[in-house]
Order: sequence, then structure tokens, then C-alpha cells
Amino acid sequence: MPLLRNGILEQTSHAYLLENDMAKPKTDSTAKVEAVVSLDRFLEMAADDSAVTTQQVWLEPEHDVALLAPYVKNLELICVHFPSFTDGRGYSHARLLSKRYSYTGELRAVGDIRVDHILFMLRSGLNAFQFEATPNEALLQTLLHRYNHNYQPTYKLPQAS
Amino acid sequence: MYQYNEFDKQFVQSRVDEFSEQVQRYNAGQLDEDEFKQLRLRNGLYYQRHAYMLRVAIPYGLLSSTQLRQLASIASDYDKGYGHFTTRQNIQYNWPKLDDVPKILQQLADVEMHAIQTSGNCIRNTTTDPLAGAIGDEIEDPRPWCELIRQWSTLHPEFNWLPRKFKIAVTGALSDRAAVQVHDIGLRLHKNADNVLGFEVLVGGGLGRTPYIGSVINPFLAPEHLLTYLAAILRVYNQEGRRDNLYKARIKILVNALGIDNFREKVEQEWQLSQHEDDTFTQDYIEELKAQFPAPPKLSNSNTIDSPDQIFSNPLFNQWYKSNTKPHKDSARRIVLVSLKNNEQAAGDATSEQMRAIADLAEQYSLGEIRSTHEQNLVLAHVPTVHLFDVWNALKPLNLATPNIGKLTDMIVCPGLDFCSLANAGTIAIYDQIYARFDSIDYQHSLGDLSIKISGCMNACGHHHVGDIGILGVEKSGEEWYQLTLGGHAGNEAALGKRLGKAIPKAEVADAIERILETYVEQRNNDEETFQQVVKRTGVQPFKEKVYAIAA
Repeated sequence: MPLLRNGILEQTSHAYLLENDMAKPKTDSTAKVEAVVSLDRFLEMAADDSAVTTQQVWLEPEHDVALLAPYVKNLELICVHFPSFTDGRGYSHARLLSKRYSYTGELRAVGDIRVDHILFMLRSGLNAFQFEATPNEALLQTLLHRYNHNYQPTYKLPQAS
Repeated sequence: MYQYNEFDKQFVQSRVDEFSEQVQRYNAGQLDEDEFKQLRLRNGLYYQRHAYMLRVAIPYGLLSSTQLRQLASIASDYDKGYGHFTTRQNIQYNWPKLDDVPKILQQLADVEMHAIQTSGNCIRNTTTDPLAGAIGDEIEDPRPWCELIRQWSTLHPEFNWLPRKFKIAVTGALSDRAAVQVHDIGLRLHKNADNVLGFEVLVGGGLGRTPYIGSVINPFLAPEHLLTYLAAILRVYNQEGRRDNLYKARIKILVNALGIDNFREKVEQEWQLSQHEDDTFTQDYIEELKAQFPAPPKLSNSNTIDSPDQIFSNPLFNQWYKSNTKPHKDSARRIVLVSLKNNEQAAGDATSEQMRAIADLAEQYSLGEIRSTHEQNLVLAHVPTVHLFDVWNALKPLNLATPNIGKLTDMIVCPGLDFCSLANAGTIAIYDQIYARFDSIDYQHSLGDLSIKISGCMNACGHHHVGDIGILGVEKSGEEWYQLTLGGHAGNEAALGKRLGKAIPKAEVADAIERILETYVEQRNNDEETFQQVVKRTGVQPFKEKVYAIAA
């Protein structure tokens, strides 16, 4: 699955929600699979210090991101799931994680991710995007540079590249 | 009024480019139907019963003559020569072609206008008092605050995919002409005991299927916190508002489910942290905005006359003067309401010719600005008293001077079954039926101010819940029926109308209204007692007996 990260379109990375310790992600042979645990599973492990075996968490829209606040320093990847591109809860998750809880690792939008919205996702704090199909790169560049200014300065535009 | 700076211009131009390319991609099969629908909705483009419908934003109902002329040109170049002013102070075109829409948006951008967020589940056009800056009971001009909200809410990255649409209204006067109690957020500028300005913040009001009067979430918010406080409300709503059921997704349902106290606690908790993180504004910036809405130049005292000479010699002018003009804070001016409710056009419609004529009059007599009202009329806010007779004479031949402002035939009417895909019943035919029955201006004036509001479905775009007489179109086994409510009100004494009884067949609506009006005249203690007061005092029973007497 194509992944846009740091302005570069990669083809081989793929985050999967590991439903429980037994689940085995299905994948094609070339993909590198990252097992990501649900918020509940992560918190369970975190409650028992010695059991934390991953720093990769998957958030659903209905999750309370504040629960992750104590752990963000060590987290490497947070997947924010958008079951539909019209479900805007993930934007608030991203805003809180990046702004309030100072999370600086990868904040990846997964699910129904469409190119016309990624500029706004970026400005909310998401910094990686997992697409179902490979987007047109020229189009991506146009969309990412569409607006030179914005009315919400604390939702920063990505650095011009 | 607010003039775009370079940044606003670039921004709106970028939006036009973006939508033009999206239309190209859609036509080329590169954007699927579902996604294109959401993208076009955020540019005001619906697909309705017959064709596309484009809703253009008129931020807080304020237009320049240049802008109104452009709206007139768009109506004649891309539509059937008219536009429809809506209950959100916007204008919509019923017949544009998809491939023309980017060109229309370009023409709008050329005069500092757009159609951003006039539909979709996002923050809609902020509305306000159409008499702002002109009326005497104003505590603070709401327009600079509306402009501040317009900028902040435009393509807000976090709040563009809310559970449902979100409407904000602002008033700064003693008398609420912006219906702030029936908005998702209502803001009332007022001064406390120490004469300090603040906002009373209401939340969770709204019409639609489940109408509510808003609750006070904050009685006195210091103005410098306006944007962060709005953001805190929006964030709680974005995260906790229901998304499983379209009809339970508005913020009023969330506020009601939690109770206002719990909702307030959540917002306050969020705001404790977010007020230090979210976008805000400087005192200098709001002062800059205020400077863009200067008070109209005071006319010299020699021009001051209480009423024009013609009042005494011309009874028709006198009638119009009494109902269609209001006192201005400068006694040498009057506020003129241009009635878009006549016996020939659908309520709120204006032809290109009418729009151009109003634009010219505004330029000549009213500082080049026009306002649209949520009652679907237009306003020339600053007409010198000495020119009222000229304005009346110019409006009359265009059928824009019906002396019915605030009266029975000044009805609010949604487009209904003739244009809207959501409607269950027609509204325009009902408007015509009532209009024809009560055409006598003398009769209307003898009744006093009275509002009839007509919606073609439960979504209540015609605000029927808050009309003295509300009319809701319903469909029963393929026929159009009308449910009546009485005693609703949208102003300071906001109230939801009470249901009269079973629905009335289409052909009998005017008959029912006639009996209701007879009952009102019988029941009122004197000419001063309003319809709402009578209903409050007597309940609906006397009306009910009269209306259903024949049927029973």
C-alpha cells in the first residue's frame, strides 16, 4: 500500500491493526508489515510495565486520545483511523496529539484517505498518509501547495519544498 | 464594509482553482461520485430536483452595489434571470450547469465573494442583525465580530467534517433580529453592570425535526476569548456529537442528551487547556476590522426632518413609510426595507433587473451597500429622509415597494417541492394562496405585525416553528397536507409554536388562516396585544375550536 511520508511516496510500508496477539496480518509478499495494537491493548500492556512490546498504537474515532498522553514520549507510530473521509474526529485526535501532548513521532492517517483532504490533515498534525491506491504525484504536489496562506495560523501549513 | 486584502484575494482565487480542477477530474472520471458530492457541497453546489443549485455566501448579509450587480449578471448569464434570497441571508441560483460553476465562482471571486461552506457538515455562513450599524438600539456593531468568525471558520482544518452542519448567529442590539436563540451557537453582545462588553454565549438551539431554544453556556465571555471559546465548543461537538444518525447529529441533540451543565463542564475543561493553544486575535486586529465598518457620516442638522412632506399628502407613501422604513440612529436618515414579497414572484426571489435597480439605489442613496435579511427581504440601511420619496418612487414600478414588511404577507418561505429534493410538499402555492386571500394592505395593517413561516418539510428551512403562524408541509398518501403551529417567535421572547391540531388539506389552508386571524382579532384585548401574546394567554384552544368547527 502506498504511503506518503515526509513528502515522499513509498510503496512498501503497511500498517495493520493487530486485533490481538494471535492475529496474523494478511499481506502480499513484498510488503513490510507493521503490527499496531489497539488503544485498549496498549493501555493493558502499559498498565503492566514489563509487558509493553510495541510502541505502535491504532486509534479509532471514538477513542479518547488523552489516555495516550503519558506514553507519547516513547511512541513511534500512531495510526489514526478514518473509517470514512467524512468522519472528522481524527482531525481532532491529530490536533491534540501533536499540539497538546507534543507527540513528535509518526502520526499516520489510515482508512478512507483521499488526496483532496491531506493538506488539511497535515495542518491538523498528521504527517503520514496510507492510501489504498497510488495517487498521482503531480496532483499531490499541486494539492499540497494549493494555499499559500491560511486563516488559522496555529494549524501550520507544511514547509514549502 | 470589509474589503479583501491581498491574502483574502489569493485565498479565494486558490479556492476557485481548486474547484475548477475538481470539476475537471470529476468529468474525467478521476473523482468518484461520493467524494465529488462532498467537495461540491463545500462550495455551495447541491444537486436538486431538476438541476444543480448553487448557494452563494453573503457573509453576514452584507453586499456592495458592485457585488449585487455581479449577482444580477450571474443570474442573467447562467440562470433564468433571477436569484433566490435565503433564510441564511445567502442567495441561491436554481439552474446553473456544472461546467459553468467554476466560471461563476470566478466571477464571484472577482468581486470578493465565494460559495465556501454554504452547505455540507461544516461551519456555515455566520448571520447577524440586518440593521447592524444603523439601528438605534445597538450596543455594539456585530459585523466586525462576524468578519472575525468568517475568517477563522473558513476552511478550518479541524472543523470541516463535523457530525452535521453548524450555524452561528450574532446580535449586538437590545432587540434580537438575528434569531440567536435558535442557532447552534448564538452570540449576544452586551454590557455588564460595570459597562464592560462581553458575549452571552448560547448553544444547542435550532429548528429542524427536533426544535430547541438554545441554552446559555456562558453568560459573559470576555470578547478576547471569542475564537478559543468557539473552538472549544466545536472540538467537544466534533468528538462527541452523534454520527450514527443524520437526524440526531446536530449539537442540540448532544447538548440535550448531556444536559447543559454537563456540556458546559466539558467545554470549560477543554477550554482551560485549549485557550492557550488555539488561534486567537490581537486587540489591534479587531480594531482594524472595526475600522472597516465606520458609522455612516452624520448628516447636517439642516437636513433633519422627522418625516418627509409627502407623508401628509400621499396616503400610499405614508403606508409604505410606516411599514417599510424604520428609524435610523441618525434622525436625518431612515432604514428602508425592500420587500421581496409581492403578488407576482416567489418569496425571496429577485430578478436581475430588480437587483441592478436596488444596486443603483444603494449607490445613489445608501452609501453603496445593501443587506439581505433572514426574512428574505433586502435593506437600504442609510437613506437620507429627504430622499425617501424618490426611493419609494423608484421601487414601486419594480414591484419592490409592497408595504407589507413585518405584516401577514411578508412570509418566510422555503423553496419547497418545486425546487428542493428534501421537500414533502409545495410551499410556493401556499404562499400564493395566502397572498391572494389577504391582499388587502389595509387589513394587513389593521392586524399589526404578524409572521407566517412556511416549510415544505421537517427540516424547517422556512422556520415554521418560530412563526406566529407556522405552516409545515407533510405528505399523506401522495397528497400534500399542512400542519399548523401557533405562537412561535424568533426574537427576544423566542418560543416554539404549539401544534393546532390535525393537518389541513392543501385547498383549505387560507380558510384555516382566515379563521385563525378572526379568532385573534376577537380575542385580543386591544390593538397592541400581539398574536404571540394572545396565544400565550389563551392557549391554542379558541383557535382550534374555530378552525376545526366546520370539519366537526
